[in-house]
Amino acid sequence: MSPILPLLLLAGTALAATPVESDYYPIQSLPNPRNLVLETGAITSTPDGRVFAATRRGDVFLIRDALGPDISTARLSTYASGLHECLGLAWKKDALYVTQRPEVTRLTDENNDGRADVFETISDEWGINGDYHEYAFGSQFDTEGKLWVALCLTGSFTSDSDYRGWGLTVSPEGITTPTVCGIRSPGGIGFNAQGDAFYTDNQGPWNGSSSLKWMKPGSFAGNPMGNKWFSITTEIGDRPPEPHDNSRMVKERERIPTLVPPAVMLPHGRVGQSSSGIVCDTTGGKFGPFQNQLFVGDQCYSNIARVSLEMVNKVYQGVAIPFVSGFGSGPIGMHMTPDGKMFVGGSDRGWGSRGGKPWNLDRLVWTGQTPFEILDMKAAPDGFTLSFTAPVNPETAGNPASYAMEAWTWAYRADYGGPEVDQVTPKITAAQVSPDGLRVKLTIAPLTKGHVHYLKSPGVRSTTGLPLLHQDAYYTLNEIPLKE
Amino acid sequence: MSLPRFSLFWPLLLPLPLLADDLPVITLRTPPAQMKYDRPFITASPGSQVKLVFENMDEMPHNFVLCQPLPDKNDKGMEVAQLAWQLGAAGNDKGWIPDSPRIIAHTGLVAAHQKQEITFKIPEKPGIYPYVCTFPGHAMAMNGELRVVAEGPGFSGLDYQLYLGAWTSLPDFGALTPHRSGAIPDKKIAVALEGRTEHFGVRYQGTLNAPADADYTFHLASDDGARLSIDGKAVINHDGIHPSAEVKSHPLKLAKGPHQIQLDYFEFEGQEELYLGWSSASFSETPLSSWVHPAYQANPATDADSEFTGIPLAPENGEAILYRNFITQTSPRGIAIGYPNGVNLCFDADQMAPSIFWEGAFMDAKRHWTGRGAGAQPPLGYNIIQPYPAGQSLARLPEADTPWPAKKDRAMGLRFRGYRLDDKRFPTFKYEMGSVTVTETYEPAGSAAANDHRVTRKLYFTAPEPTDHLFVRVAAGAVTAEGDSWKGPGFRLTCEGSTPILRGENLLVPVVFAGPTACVSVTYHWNP
Repeated sequence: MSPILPLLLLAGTALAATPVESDYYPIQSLPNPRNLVLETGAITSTPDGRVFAATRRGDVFLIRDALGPDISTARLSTYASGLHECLGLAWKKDALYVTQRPEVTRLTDENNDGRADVFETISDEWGINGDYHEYAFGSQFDTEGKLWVALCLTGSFTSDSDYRGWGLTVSPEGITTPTVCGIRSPGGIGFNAQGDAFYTDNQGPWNGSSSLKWMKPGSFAGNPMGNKWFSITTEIGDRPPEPHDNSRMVKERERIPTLVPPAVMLPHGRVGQSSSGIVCDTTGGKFGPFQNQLFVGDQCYSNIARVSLEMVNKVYQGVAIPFVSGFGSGPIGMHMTPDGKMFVGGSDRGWGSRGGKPWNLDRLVWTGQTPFEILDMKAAPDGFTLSFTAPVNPETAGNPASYAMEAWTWAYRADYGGPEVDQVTPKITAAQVSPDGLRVKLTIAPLTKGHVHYLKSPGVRSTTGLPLLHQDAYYTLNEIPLKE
Repeated sequence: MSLPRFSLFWPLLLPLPLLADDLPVITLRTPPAQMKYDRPFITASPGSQVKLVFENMDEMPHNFVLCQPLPDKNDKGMEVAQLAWQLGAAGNDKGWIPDSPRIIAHTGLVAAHQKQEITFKIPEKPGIYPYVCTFPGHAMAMNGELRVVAEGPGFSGLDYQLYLGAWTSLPDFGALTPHRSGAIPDKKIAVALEGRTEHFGVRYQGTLNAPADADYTFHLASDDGARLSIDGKAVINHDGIHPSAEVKSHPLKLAKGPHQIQLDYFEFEGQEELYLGWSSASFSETPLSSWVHPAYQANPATDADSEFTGIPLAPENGEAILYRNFITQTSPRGIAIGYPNGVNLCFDADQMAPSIFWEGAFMDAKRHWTGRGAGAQPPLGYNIIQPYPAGQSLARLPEADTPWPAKKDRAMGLRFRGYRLDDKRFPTFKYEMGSVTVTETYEPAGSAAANDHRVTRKLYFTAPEPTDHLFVRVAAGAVTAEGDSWKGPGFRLTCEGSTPILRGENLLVPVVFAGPTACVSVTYHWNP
């Protein structure tokens, strides 16, 4: 073959004018010369820079030298095998905690040969009945030193084994506490910068769309199938009243005091279709401008969305904005190392993904270039306040015609999923740019409590003339802030 | 071609080993502890007589059984293997060779580290013929295919004209003066004329004899450009600078008899490769070039996702292998263990008891590792022992007439604490019953060859103070005493250091504490 082809590729790169996601956050695949099956379900790292990835096939891989500038130095070795569908990994005091289908297990390598030899069962206080859909997703350790486990319903519809549809906390000593009910089919679990636990729940019965939900202790996340297990625990009080079918979340919240609405809807078919892993950027800027924001994977769309939360009237809500797409398979396990490298791995087995490959294990790094993005979107009594990663051109950003908005919600119902309903077209009457060009206050009416407010900003330009890298923002308005 | 040819990945180029009796030799081996043949397929010409040397390098016995294919699908010999397994106890004497009209040729059962030679005739009919080890439990992993391939004729004469020049597309060779020309002795298209690697072009001209009036397909791949013309008409044009990855194929009707083939080719810089082949309904793709395209070597296609293909797991490097998943005859928290000597068992971490024991191959992970992984998987091996019905194996029976606890989803009052792997990755399980801590290990012994597989289950109890009325259930159902042993369906049981008692249907070993500790040891033997 002639050397002409590489020259053409170089020329193509030089011609690129419109920035793309990979100019800021390139996806780097870990080398896998032995073709190990890396159906990654969970990832974690240690203070001394080792990374661990656990898989749906039940292997745990130790990855050394994965944090350097050149990903090709990373080396994978098998740390443990023979586990059962691993969907959680955490590290604490020289031990690795694996959440696998039947239990949380503490793995240690006593003889220091690079392979785990002690597998201690920390908690197996939930039921499994042989149904493949009874997944258990495990978190990292929270600020109090506990692991959180989100338990999928049986077959994702019913609750035929103990605590199916619940969230449990597990201490390193194995004290297991039922903490949240109302879960349907989780895809990942993690914490925000304040240390509150969140999980992603997938579209299905009582879920019109996939969403990010707050695991507020004692709360009911919305799917009542698992509430039968109030018969075996008094840990979070009384069984909540049954939600009325074909209602609305805002309405049922008035009836059911412990019902917590999804913090952020991830609109089905728009942001993704099967939300999964959650990581929070607490690296203080090493991953770019999105400090303290959440990154949420989508197994089906092979992408990651960015979520910024705020608390209004004691309920979390916020915005979801597309972030990076194009992973090789369907992201499930995600983790950010303290030096600001995001590891993303997944699988398309049983549920196809856009990436098209059977698995992936990648590293997402920030190039140091700041993309022109909506940094944040916050609710105001009469609209929304946008902030940007770089100064806006005031003429474009100050013109209400540079924006458009739609709003809708979903029925809260026992049937699977459901269409967007109750459409509203809010009117943007003013766009006021701050003197430094980093903020825009949009005055909007009407605002509808409980609706997703979808903002498009195709007309906005930076001072250097760039369009937004992502023009779509989906704000879930659980509560409208009161006028001060 | 007069001689049949065999090889694994390079069907045409390797010289054939010939013995004194002049038969071509196929060597097939079984690598140690891998539960597979060393060759996933063998290629041979129809109707030829061959000698097979079958060398068993494994610790377990194996055989080679060549089968007629099923008309509609490739079962990888599984039907024949299952007939063998049905032979049951008589199977060993027959070398696990069942009566089946599908069997074309077979070796006997070849013991560990032994060798056997057989001579047989390759079938006349081209096709894929599965071969399989019919020793119980091996077939899913140990199979392969004999590819009987008829080949078409090659060139009856082949000349070349070599031109020099740095072209980026094919020039009109007819208007140029060749640097050199001549005949190619082995009548196969070759790129490396004069050892040149860049800036040259070649026109090949040869004669191909079509065996019949029929449809033929020509296959061309080249790095860089090439154009195939037949009887003066361009058939495939793949000009320009490109790698050889893509094979261009084109159908063409040819009359019986000789046809003039012209292949023009040029190489600019970098790699240089040229492949030409042809095929028809009566013969499979036959290379006409000395370099063979990788796509041809992968041919004929096999269906890797066929219902008969598994993901067999096997112990490696003398270590045990663990597989936690849904296993048949076991609660959902199953932990299967395969030991290097061919003994396997499943520990039920809901019941704190071994649920089943078996010999031979360990587990097929395909059910759980493809798709969503629904359902419970049975062992891949044979001679499954289930000493007692699913349920717990340890209980307190305060009175002589206290019934054994009924089976629950999880054993009452028992708590699983995990396991520890030793330097051979053999697990020791740990669980608790109130203040009593139990550790449980298994010691596999014997071999399939000696027909003396057995496994000893050892339980060690520690408690702050001796605990009374504790019993280990080691068998249930049709169990009868026979000397120092107890016989159950498919197994014989011995207890070391204690005497079991039969209480109702259950054979129980009392746990007798000596101070703060107690020990129970029971051995299950496959050979009654």
